Amino acid sequence: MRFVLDIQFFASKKGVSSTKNGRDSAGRRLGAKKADGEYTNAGSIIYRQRGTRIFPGKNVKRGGDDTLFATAAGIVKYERLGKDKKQVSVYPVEA
Amino acid sequence: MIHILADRHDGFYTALTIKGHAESAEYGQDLVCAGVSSIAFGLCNALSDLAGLETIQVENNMISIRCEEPDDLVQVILTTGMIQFKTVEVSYSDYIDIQITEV
Repeated sequence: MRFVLDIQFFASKKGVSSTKNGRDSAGRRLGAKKADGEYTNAGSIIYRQRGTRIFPGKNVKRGGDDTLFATAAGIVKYERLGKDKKQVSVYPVEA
Repeated sequence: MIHILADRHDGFYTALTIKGHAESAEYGQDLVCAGVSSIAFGLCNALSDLAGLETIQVENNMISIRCEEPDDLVQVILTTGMIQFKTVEVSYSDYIDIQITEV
């Protein structure tokens, strides 16, 4: 006899369940791009973020996607802002 | 639902495909599936052993039978099988569906 009976041949397979999950977008590589005390040029990105986890301080501006970037060359400084906030500033180096 | 799709030409069955899931109960307790599986495998063995038909494919929950040449014995066996499937369909039409197409 050529065909061996599988009496559950047309049943939904055991334990085979499908999931609608399993998708995720690529990581956005957020976070600090310049460390505290590091030298940076004008226009360089200092911090990538969503929302203002860190606020712009002196010589730092905020871009449309909340990215913080230097508006002057100098040393990066992360500082406290008020009770529970942080800001980042750039202090030009004296020639 | 299990779908049984049969092609007929001039009153002869030329192709039969059985596929799908009965889903009348969980795996291991699906009685409609057991009935249809038994008929289908019996049909395949009858066609193969009695009529020597080779063009039979059994793969992951699909059975495909093709008969290019009109052969009386093959037709008798196929017609018997279709009557058996219809017998199941009459009582369990929520889980099995038969479609015959004249080609």
